Amino acid sequence: MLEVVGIEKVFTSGIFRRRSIEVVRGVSFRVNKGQTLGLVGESGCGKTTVGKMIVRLIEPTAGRILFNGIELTRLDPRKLRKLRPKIQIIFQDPDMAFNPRWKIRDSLGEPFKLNRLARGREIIDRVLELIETVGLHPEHLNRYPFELSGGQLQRVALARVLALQPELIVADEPTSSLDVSVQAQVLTLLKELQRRFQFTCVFISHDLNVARWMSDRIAVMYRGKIVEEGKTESIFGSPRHPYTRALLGAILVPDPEAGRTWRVASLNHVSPEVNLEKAGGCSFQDRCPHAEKICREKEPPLAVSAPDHRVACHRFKDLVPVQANVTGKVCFL
Amino acid sequence: MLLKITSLRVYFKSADGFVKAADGVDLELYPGEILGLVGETGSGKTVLGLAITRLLPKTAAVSGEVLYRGQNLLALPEEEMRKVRGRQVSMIFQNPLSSLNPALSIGEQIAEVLREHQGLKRKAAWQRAGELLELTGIPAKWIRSYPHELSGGMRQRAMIAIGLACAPSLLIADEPTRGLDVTIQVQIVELLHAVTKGVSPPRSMLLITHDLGVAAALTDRLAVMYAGKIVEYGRTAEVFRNPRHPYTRALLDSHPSNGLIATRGFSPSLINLPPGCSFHPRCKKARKKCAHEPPLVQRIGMDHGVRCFYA
Ligand SMILES: Nc1ncnc2c1ncn2[C@@H]1O[C@H](COP(=O)(O)OP(=O)(O)OP(=O)(O)O)[C@@H](O)[C@H]1O
Ligand SMILES: Nc1ncnc2c1ncn2[C@@H]1O[C@H](COP(=O)(O)OP(=O)(O)OP(=O)(O)O)[C@@H](O)[C@H]1O
Ligand code: SF4
Ligand code: SF4
Ligand SMILES: [Mg+2]
Ligand SMILES: [Mg+2]
Repeated sequence: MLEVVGIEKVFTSGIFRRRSIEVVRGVSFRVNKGQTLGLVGESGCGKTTVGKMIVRLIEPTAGRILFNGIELTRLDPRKLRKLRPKIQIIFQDPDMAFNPRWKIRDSLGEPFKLNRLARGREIIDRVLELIETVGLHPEHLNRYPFELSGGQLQRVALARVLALQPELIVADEPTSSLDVSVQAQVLTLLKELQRRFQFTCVFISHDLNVARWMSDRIAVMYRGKIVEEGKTESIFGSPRHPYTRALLGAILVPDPEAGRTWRVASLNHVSPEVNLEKAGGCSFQDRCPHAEKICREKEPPLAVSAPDHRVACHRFKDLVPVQANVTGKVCFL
Repeated sequence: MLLKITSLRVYFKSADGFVKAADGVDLELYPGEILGLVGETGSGKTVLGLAITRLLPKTAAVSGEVLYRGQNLLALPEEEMRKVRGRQVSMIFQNPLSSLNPALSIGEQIAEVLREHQGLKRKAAWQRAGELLELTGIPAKWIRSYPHELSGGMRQRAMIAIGLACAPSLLIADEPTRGLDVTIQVQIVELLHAVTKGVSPPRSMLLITHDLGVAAALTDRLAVMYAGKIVEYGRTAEVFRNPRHPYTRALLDSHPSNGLIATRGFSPSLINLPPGCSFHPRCKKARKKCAHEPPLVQRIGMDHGVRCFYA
């Protein structure tokens, strides 16, 4: 089981004019063994940062991360190294995962060698098997990363992580470069392996349809915080937070017949640059159609709105429940 | 006609044989038109874009013709080509991390393009770079950030800003909305629409995407690629309404809003392509002939063509 308790991240950048930005603010959630939490939200809201903190690629500024009761955030380097292979991330940019001077064969074989999972001839067999499970061919093993297409490299990155049979996977947009059909194949594979090996998964995706298919629970992030969290059916069936509603109302489904004006617009494209740190209150206030006085004064806490469903909005009780119509919704006017 | 590609072949030499990444591609693009290129991962979409801009690695053997305003780009000396690249034709690359310079702030990278291709002075270029970032939804205060300080989607959008900095007559955008959430996606789609259709005279775009929603919203015509070949093309609405190639049908049926449905089987090796129709091992409609004879493109309507015997 993965447990994230109040993690925060502040980045400081700039050499002369140092500035700090709070990127993740008090994020907590829990994922049971063998289950998947879908992490969704706007570009730049902090999903990758949360993911990288979980696998300890970046140090949280505050908070705790526990996996199977072990506090990862306190582990000494030696113990962490031993745990490493069990806790894996699939990077959003697949080129991150590869040494550009290594052939795919070597990149895929390395984890076996490094972790003494296999030797000699066996490595070759395992690598061959892996490349085929993700729909590629032995010939791809002889290539360098730049000699593969975007979607091919992304699948190799996935294969490399699966090779280690991890107990926890942070999958950061793992199918963003795949066409819908191959995406379906890869996601089906991932689900099947999860059923078999019972790994725990944090699945980051911009694609709500995909997040819905993959996840037992969904956490919606907005500007560094979780604004809504609950069972997948509950989030899609009765979304409460105005941001979640806007997000769900904006799913695009191909329908060129309908013309090409977009109907997404319950969400204003306000430049997200109202100085919110100074403004105080709810971080969604500048774009929220329901904002009131209290929203500018007090930050809404993540409160229970229904059994097993939490939402951070002062006004969730006043908002009429809506049914999100994700499947088959046509969003072109 | 702005761009006319005829029998384009791109073969990569490799230890296992020739990789036929583009195997006889014919494509036309009219002035002011947005042409969508969709298809299976690994089918040759990026290679096609790189062939037009002549940015392929040296291991690629290229043949055929790429006529841009009547001039064959494949025959142009590199020096001339450099002038075409940027001012005339520019490309938004698929992999932002390896395409951006990690040592320069994104502002500097956009401004550099503006100075080189638009002849802007330092200050004006910097100003404009900020505006371009804002257009992609990145607040201008990020202008001094380095690529590693941006989120994946922000890097993606910085790439778009660089591509737009050239204000080319033909923009090749390779998966510009990859990994972007819906609201930003919409903003990018509107932006791409504004910089092509919204200027006068309208500019053209080759939009490579696997997002069928984006393709539907933005493109006038659509070409579907499978294993190095265009297997179907036509007006976008027509292809969506009446897909005729079995692969196109499978692709449209796989949209995640319909559930997780995959086409059976995997894409073929581009080194050892199946004989006959490359799609036959996976095709539900395949008959005997398909395994022996390669189908040619049949025109089945006004500007609608399909590479299939039984479409
Ligand atoms: N090393 C860093 N230094 C400074 N700021 C950073 C750094 N890494 C990330 N950020 C900032 O933190 C915020 C969150 O980034 P993150 O990559 O977590 O977003 P994300 O939710 O994954 O977005 P996307 O969907 O676009 O990938 C962004 O505003 C980003 O610019
Ligand atoms: N330098 C290279 N050497 C050998 N093969 C290559 C090289 N570059 C690309 N290929 C192969 O050519 C084919 C076409 O690649 P391309 O990048 O055009 O695919 P794509 O259609 O853009 O796919 P994606 O949607 O995954 O980006 C792929 O099968 C790829 O493996
Ligand atoms: S707290 Fe107020 S501003 Fe924030 S989401 Fe709820 S209604 Fe909108
Ligand atoms: S030619 Fe035959 S195998 Fe190819 S797509 Fe048509 S029916 Fe299928
Ligand atoms: Mg990210
Ligand atoms: Mg590509």
